[in-house]
Amino acid sequence: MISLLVRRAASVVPILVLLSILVFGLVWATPGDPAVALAGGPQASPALVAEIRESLGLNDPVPTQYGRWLGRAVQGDLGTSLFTKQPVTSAILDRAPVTFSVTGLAFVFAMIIAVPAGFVAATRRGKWQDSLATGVASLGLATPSFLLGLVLVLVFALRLDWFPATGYTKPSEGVFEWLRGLVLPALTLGALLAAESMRQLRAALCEVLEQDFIRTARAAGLRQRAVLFRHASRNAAGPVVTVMGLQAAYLLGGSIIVERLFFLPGLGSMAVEAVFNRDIPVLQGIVLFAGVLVVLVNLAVDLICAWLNPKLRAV
Amino acid sequence: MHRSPWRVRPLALSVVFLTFLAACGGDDSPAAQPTTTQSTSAESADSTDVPPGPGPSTDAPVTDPTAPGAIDGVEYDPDAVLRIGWHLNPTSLDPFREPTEENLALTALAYDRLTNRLPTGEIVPMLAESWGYNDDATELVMHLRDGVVFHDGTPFNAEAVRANMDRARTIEGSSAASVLALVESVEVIDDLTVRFVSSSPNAVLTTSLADRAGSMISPAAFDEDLSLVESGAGPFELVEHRPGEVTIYERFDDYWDPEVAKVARVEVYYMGDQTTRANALRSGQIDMSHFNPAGLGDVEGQPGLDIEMRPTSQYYQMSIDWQYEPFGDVRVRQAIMHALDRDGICQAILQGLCETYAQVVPESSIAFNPEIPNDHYAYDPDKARQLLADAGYADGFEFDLVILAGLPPYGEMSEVIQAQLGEVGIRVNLVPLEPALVAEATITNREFPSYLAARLSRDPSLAIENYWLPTSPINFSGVTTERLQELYLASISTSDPDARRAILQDAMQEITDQVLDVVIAFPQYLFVHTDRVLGFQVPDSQAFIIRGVGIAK
Repeated sequence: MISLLVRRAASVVPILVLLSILVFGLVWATPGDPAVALAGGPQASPALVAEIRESLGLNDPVPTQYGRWLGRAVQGDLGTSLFTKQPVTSAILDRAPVTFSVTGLAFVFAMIIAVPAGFVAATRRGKWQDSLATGVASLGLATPSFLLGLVLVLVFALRLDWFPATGYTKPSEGVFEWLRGLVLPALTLGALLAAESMRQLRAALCEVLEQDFIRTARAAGLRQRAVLFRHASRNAAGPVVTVMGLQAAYLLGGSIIVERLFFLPGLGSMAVEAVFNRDIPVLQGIVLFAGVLVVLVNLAVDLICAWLNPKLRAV
Repeated sequence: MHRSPWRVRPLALSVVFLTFLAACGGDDSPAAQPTTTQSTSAESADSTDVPPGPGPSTDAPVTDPTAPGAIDGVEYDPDAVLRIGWHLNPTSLDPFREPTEENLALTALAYDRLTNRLPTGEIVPMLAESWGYNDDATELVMHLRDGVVFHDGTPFNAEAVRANMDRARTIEGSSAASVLALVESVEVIDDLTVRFVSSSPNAVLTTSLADRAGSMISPAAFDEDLSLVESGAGPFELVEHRPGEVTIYERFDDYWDPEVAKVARVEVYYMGDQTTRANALRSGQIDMSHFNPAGLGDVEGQPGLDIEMRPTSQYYQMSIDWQYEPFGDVRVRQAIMHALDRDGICQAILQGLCETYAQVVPESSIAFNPEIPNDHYAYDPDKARQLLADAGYADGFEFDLVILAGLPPYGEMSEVIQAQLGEVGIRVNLVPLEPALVAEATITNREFPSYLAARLSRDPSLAIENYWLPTSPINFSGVTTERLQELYLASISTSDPDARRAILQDAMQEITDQVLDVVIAFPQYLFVHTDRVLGFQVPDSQAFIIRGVGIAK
């Protein structure tokens, strides 16, 4: 298991290098000369443009610039926001807890919904419970999150007044209020993950339940519960965990819409602002941060799958 | 150093481009759309200066701001919090660096100016109690209010004014440098008297000083990072600023006018999404917000919410390059005006929430010429065809119209314009460009002869200076007339309100007759607030200011 860990971790390095090159390239993806864009447009004073070129090191060869940028990034220095003048790293760390709160709770909600629904659908295959769960899941997959968010706000915030329509309360200002404010955004964000995970779990369980070893277990007199939870679930978990790992990227991406809709000051809304303001260092910082996060989640998923399925450990 | 009034202002242009950038970031509202806004920032007033003398506020009895009182007969809560959902995201809290006009509404909470503009457009005393110009309006003497202190305790005096003017004219990226370009020196006469000496007639200075150019920052705070902290002499003191999230102000107890801060706290939440603002308003999480016409349905008819609107000096227009051959002929320009069904555009695209004046200022402006009817260029395709034929374009012609890609209402508006001009034989090729590239592609590089954008005219002299002089930062350079240049010089050379009014109304006649701008429509500036908000008036320009606004008990 240790050697697997080392091997998998090593395989992540080239991905991170590629990611860093792409992120660094964002500067060059903006139309026109970045220094001119930063100085405020084509009529900016040449002195100001020269100053910006100098301060950004745009006069050096590109590999030198990349090396310097990467060196600082590795040490946690992602530069300074062109817009707010805040250090990017501290701005990201300020905002990350909000995004993690929403995505974390979205994940919890998704599991609370998906796991029981998946088990029920798989064990009552073809019955009304299965049709209901599959139908709701299809609806969940088909509903755009902004629409779902609006409907949830309309019903649970504006009509029933159970939850706030917008805003974020820090956990330090009250754990209950913090949770209350996160329920609607987390449900909005988690719906798709719940639907996707439920369908994966159902499919995987159905497949496993038809295998010989399950029939053998049943024939040996094991109770349905033991068959399901001890033998089937572990075998079915692999694909579900893989899907969840893939969904980590979706959760981060989806937080852009959800945070804007619910006015949550997280990384998603920060990314939107950075795009609008052409705040390249912030954008680079967020993309890099999110990219590293997704890579790490996938690494964790690989390891969990290996733990679940000993056959994978040898690969 | 002697400067001509035609001095080119490169800085101003850079501010314009910044405005393009910042504005498109904000939101979908017309106000936030990349406008070729008046880069000078001068807020200003469609109004003339008041004669020297004590201002209206100076006689106000000194009362305790926290004592209970009433606004419009309704008792307000002096301990209340006013929560504003703001549709933009300011770059900087420094009024001399923030490029977007509308965000000055926020800096105005903490920073008083030398003069103030009322929501009606009138210029009244603020930190300057009275003032007077010399005969040719090259010198302005201001008498300052006594006993004013900045939030940090520094006293406000003539020396502070001089220090602020020096900073405003010299810091890199100052968005007020161009508006103060004519000011040669600021002299301290005594502790409470300053003299502004301009290199040429400058009667719009008092108007400019009601805006960012007149914002007074504590000189003791100059060394701090003023993009993140504020230290002014305004009615509210900054207590917390989280960029992109929220800015919180509390009442400044030593403010000179106790009638202004009627709430204890102002919280400004940066909510770019209009649906989010609508939800927050309906659920009572904010008290007021700006809206654009397209999203008004979310709040219209909701109990407890009031909608207020008025046309401002912002308008949609098509800028055209007179050096592109057909456009150089005034008959062609007039033909374009007659070919456009502007009322139809207003109804179809702006939900009818707009006015279609034929001139470039709204009715509330002193420059509004009552002799130019709104239907001066009535929709008349036959007349348009006749004018085109007279000009030698009986078969029409073709041109490229640049639009700001992805920003409503420009897409729809341009399609209607294309169809309507097509009716009279003018073929329009629509060229959507990334907003940040529009000014460069059109004004600077002249790759395209026209673009569709919004403009803020506000003070008419400053508008002429920005758009229709040979040296204007956002002009195709050829768009001007000799008569207009003469009228402009005359308008900044007199501080007499009646004389100035007459000159500016003549200028409007010239601009309208010569079609310096293809004016399309003046959208309503819309605010929605809960019925507990008292005393709010939609201002005449895009910078709304919370003065004397309270929350009902």
